[in-house]
Amino acid sequence: MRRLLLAALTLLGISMLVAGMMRTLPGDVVDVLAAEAFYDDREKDRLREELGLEDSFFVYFGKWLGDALQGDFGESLRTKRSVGSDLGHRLDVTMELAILGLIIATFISVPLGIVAALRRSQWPDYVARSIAVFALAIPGFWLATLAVVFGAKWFSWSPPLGYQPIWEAPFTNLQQMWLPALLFGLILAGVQTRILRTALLDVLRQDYMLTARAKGLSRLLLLRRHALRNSLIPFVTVIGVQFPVVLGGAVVFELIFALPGLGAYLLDGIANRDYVVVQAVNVWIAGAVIITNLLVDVSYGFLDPRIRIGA
Amino acid sequence: MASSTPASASAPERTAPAALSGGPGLARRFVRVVRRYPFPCLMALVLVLIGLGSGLADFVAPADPLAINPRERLFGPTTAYLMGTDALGRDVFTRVLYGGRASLGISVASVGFAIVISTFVGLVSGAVTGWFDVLTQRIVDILMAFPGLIIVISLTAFLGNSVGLLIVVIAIALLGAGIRVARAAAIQVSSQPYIEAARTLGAGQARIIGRHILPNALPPIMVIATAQLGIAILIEASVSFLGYGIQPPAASWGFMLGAEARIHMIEQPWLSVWPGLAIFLTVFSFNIIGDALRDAFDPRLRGAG
Repeated sequence: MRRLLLAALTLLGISMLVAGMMRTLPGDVVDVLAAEAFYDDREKDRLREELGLEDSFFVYFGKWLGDALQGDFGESLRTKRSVGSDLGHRLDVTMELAILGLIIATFISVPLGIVAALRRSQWPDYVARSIAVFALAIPGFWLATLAVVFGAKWFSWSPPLGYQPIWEAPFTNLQQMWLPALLFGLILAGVQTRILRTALLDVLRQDYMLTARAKGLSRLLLLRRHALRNSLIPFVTVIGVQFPVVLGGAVVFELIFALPGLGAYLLDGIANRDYVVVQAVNVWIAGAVIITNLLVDVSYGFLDPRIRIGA
Repeated sequence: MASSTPASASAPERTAPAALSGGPGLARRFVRVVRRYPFPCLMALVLVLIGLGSGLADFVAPADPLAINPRERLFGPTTAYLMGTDALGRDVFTRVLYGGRASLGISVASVGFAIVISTFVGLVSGAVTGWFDVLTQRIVDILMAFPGLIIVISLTAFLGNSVGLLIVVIAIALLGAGIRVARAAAIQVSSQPYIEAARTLGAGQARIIGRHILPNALPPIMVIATAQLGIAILIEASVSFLGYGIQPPAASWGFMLGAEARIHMIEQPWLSVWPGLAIFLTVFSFNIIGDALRDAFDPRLRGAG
């Protein structure tokens, strides 16, 4: 309960910070917009009122917050479409990319992490650790750029345009998503492998592992029931920590692979100087991060009953 | 009385990095470190070369980074152009060197800026606790909820993209993690008996933080600073890649991979290789050195290795 309150408080702080920043930007927002759209003075006044710039900050923020709580994030300055519903569609794309990427990363990192920990300081460990360290240092946008450039050069392949939502055309959708998700997964697997290896090594050192061995448990059972279960907490934590990284990386992947997700929406908003959109995307992304961290905290209770009782 | 306090406090600090203690001569110490950490030392050498090449780009670079030569555009690597030429016939090797100057300069400046602030705030909030700690914890929560890249592009896009601003904004993105590490270190050090002893001797809060906690909390802070150098390079490169960082025609690793360059990459794929390789090598070196520092500082891992 306390965690929930803290999360709500943090989200409120974030909304205020973002709203405050958008308002204190240098230069008159309306003048910039008006100059680009050739507005006259009357239209400028109307726009000023519409954006709530005539009101004091607290009145403005109160209005914004009240609307936002009802799911109304205002209208895009450029397209005049509801930002709330646009965000909904785009969140689907980003979430799909994030979830597929995390699943692929887990499929890569779990075997690598296990092998590295069990064969510590032998060649499988070195191979797994090298892969992890490489993945950690490769910029996502470089890997994606290389895939697009050499895909075109060698296989005459280019990322398909015209995104299809997964709910409507699952097959076409996966055709578009598999490569970005795979590259994303490769990059995320680096941190996960390292954390899982360290966590496993920590558990394998414990006295109860020796006891379990002495009882005559098979290696597989030992690994599954004792070692992996006890390494889950750091592993789940790192997935929570990675989530902001995932959302940040999505901006770049969506741009290169022409996917209409949250990141692409933010870039469009920035390019169009669409303050309403930029404000909403920032609050949504921060909100998604906070909710993920909350879920990670809640999952500790399921992974380790001692924590549930302690809390 | 007062003069005996710093001496007793600096004793544990002097023995902390095991790899550096012992042998008297600087040269012998150096050999020992190299022998113990051969690969991290190699990567440090790579980093020094990248740093020297970029820092001294004005003297080392074979060409002018902005000189256009339309007749020799989109060359592959040749003896005249080590890394080929770009769509305007500019020497890519030269531009990678100058790009490194921008990337490394911005990252080092923003990490320096971030680490000073986060060490100060983190140590004070870990040592003093109370309302200040509660307040900074909430601020850190807020900072950590924004993905670094997203803060940086949102701010630079609206505030303009001067180099100074880019440094400050990247530093803001790094603050949260730095404060957390410094605070954790301060809390750990505060529970040590020698802090209690210093307090009994009448040392004030500021003196305890500055003379006793700071030197003993430095190792984890150095580790995170090294790791953040890699992160800062990646953020700067991503922002420049998206077009909101270093502005053309100035060279930067990120922008050299960006949308304008991408059009020509099918024709000359080498263009997509070099700047990315430079970013990768730099970040890779920082990570390896950071890992080695952590191994050297963490007594638990030292015993195991």
